[in-house]
Amino acid sequence: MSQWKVYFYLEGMRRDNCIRAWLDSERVSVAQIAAFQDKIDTLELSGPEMVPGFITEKPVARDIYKMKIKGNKGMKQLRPMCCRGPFAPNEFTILVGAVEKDGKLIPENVTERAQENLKALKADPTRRVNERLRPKPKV
Amino acid sequence: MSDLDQNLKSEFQDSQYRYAYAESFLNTKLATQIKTLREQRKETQAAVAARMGIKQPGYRRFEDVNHSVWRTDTLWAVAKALGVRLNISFETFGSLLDDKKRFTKEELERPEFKDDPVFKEAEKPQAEEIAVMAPAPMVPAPRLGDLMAAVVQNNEELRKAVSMDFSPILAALESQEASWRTVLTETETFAPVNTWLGKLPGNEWILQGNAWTQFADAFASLPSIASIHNPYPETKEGTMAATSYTPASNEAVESAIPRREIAAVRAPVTFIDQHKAKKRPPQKRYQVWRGISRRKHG
Repeated sequence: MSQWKVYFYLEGMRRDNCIRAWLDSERVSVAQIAAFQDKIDTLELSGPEMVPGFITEKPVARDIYKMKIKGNKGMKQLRPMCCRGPFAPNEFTILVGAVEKDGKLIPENVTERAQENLKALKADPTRRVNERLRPKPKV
Repeated sequence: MSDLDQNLKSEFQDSQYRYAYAESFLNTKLATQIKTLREQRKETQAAVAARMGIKQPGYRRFEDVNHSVWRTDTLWAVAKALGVRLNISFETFGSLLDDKKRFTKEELERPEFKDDPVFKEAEKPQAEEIAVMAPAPMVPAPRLGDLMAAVVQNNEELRKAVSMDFSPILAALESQEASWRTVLTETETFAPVNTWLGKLPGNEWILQGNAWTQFADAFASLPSIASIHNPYPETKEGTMAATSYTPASNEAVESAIPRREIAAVRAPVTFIDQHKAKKRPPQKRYQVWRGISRRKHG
């Protein structure tokens, strides 16, 4: 079994998981979060080869790759941006969330933001976390 | 229990979440297996698409984990193009955890029908039957020594299993008069073979004072041998697996079974349990048949 890791960039002063915050702000449905988590789990367990089409083969900007989580009709087309590594070959770090509408990424400057976050991460390797998309319910 | 198991156990309490997760994994599995099967066959997307009667861009979406609208007839078309069958089943959510862990390329690979080991094996007896139906070739019967030498030389597994020089044994066999009695009673000759076979996994290979019994199957697998006749009929001595067999009746065996039959007669080598054989019921079928027959005539 391959050992891959998927991390989330921690943004801002509060170091929030950039994807958790983005999923909340976009009001992404439970079903889409589950589909996203499934693909992350499969990627971690079996490697990127076993989730064809989840991450683009070619970068959309320098070092930045687009993830695709298709939504059914009426749902959002989730396109978070990630990078390979950057500290080990068998890891990915999701840098920023985005959606695609009418063939355009929203926000428009998403690739630049991803590159900025990658630069910040390289400067501070603690700015990332490996955790579930959905926080565990408090008992 | 792994972290993933624990997380999913907690997350799957939400019905909407677990169905969406399972659906996503199904789509992932389908797309990945289609890609894996194509790559296993070393084919391009265009080649498989052509067999399905569609174009490559249309086929490409089947290899994308985000493709979520599957039709059974489309899946059958993919299956036919890749030489496999389609299997659809309903499963528990619990089994998803195992499916997820076993989600590797090797687990998803399937041979095409022409390479399916089940049907490849089925072809073998057919060829053998034809050989048996043909008149027995007028060739001298192989000597036991030759057979053993062939077994040792042809069986890769046996050769790899131990690092041992077989030449003295083979030379000894070659120099012998090939008679069952000689071989069976030459314990000194077979002592190294015993040791050698004793190292192999599985007790079927361990010689227990009866060389023939242990080599019979190996002989039967040789392409040059049509079949092996059981030299010990279903008698008390026919308890082939028994260690208590003494080679006292070797001469009787030799005289009862002409040596030419070794290569020509096709009969399975059967090992009869002495105790079970005793408990066999009388031939009721024959008696019933005779009864009916009598009534008819009466």
